[in-house]
Amino acid sequence: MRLTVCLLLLAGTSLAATSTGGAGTDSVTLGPAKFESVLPPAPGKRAVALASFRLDRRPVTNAEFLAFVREHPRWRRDRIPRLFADAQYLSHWQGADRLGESALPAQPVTRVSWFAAKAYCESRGARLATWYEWEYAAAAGPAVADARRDPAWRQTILNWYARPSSKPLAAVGQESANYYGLQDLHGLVWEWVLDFNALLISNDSREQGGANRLKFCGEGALSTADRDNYAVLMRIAYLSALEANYTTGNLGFRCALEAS
Amino acid sequence: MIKQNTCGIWVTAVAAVAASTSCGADTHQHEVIAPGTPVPGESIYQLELSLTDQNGQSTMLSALRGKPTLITLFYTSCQGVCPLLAVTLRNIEESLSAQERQGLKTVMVSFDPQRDTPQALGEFAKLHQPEGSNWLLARTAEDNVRELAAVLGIRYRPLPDGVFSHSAVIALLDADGVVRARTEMLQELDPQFMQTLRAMLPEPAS
Repeated sequence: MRLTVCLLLLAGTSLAATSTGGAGTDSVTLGPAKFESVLPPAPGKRAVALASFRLDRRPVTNAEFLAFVREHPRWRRDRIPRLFADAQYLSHWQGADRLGESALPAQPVTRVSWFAAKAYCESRGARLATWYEWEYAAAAGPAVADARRDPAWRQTILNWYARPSSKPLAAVGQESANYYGLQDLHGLVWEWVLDFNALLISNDSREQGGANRLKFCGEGALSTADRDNYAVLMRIAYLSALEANYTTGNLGFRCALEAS
Repeated sequence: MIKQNTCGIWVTAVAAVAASTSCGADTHQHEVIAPGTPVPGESIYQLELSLTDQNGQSTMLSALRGKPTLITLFYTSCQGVCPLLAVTLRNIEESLSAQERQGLKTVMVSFDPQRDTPQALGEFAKLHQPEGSNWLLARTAEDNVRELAAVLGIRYRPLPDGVFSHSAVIALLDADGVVRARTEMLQELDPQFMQTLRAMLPEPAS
């Protein structure tokens, strides 16, 4: 029953995902679309309207990030101000402008801060994807645009979270593409989004009154509506806990762009 | 939490004390930073962003360098927590001696550059800043707001009806723009925050 409702909803939206190989970037165009986010945009409102946007097929690799750092030396690990990246920034690279054995060219770049990821995308005339864009793109299964209510698909994603993270990261683009032709949205690395610091969650009823109420303007909007979608909720919780100069060994990014 | 009334009386008392202390010569504590000295790596003045204040004047964020600074993000049409942020900033200032206050700057930057014109910012400042204070209320481009919020650890998001959901944080920057303390305590004064602040300011005349 739920599935039917879901499919009907999607039937009203544009599902066109077209390949755009222009400008040397490998990205696809998604939307415009309306979809139901795990994070409602406002109290009592579920649907999020997305303008058409382009999204990289794969996360940014070490090789791509190395080229950026060479061209923009202020983002080298030995020059970057601490405000923009913590001490672990690119620490797995052999040198400030060399990858080495622990950072293979085709692996997704990790240990990058939000500022560094943002600067990389801006250097390409792009930007980081917003949460809603990322969530919309990542809702797709191999054959459908919205697989979020498919228990088997959910389980596949959850299995990734259960895997130990001590093994070296695979190269990007090894997993099969989703409905839109995007790869590695699940199963490889976490990804920065432009508005990582917008994903407040406050649906604890104990916070509805008293002094804590004053902490947020409009906090009522921040409850999560789909409690069963653990994988997405986990991602939101993870992103919400980050600060802009944090880096970790399994946090990378991909870029997006307004579709012209 | 201190109630509005109590707070008003208390503030008046402190102001009277402050006024009665002599405004002696400036003390030693103020380091003069030579122009061109690089800012520390952790300084928020690493951000290259331009602010437009309530008088329509543009200034670089990094030009704030030189004095300890209280900084927060807010927006003028906010009905909930933002007036309380202003009240808290006012309470902090009014708990200081006149001399201490001279060593401190207060800056409020808007989440809402669309609607917070210099005029709207000016009206908000007039309404909230203590007499004799010179708060800087400013707006900056949307992407700059995102970066400023990020370095101050402030969470926010625009909601469809022009409201912003945001955490209410006051950050204390040292003269070089490094965040030395943060508080989410509103109206009443956060003792630890105040201790850090006082240690940065010129000694009060005794």
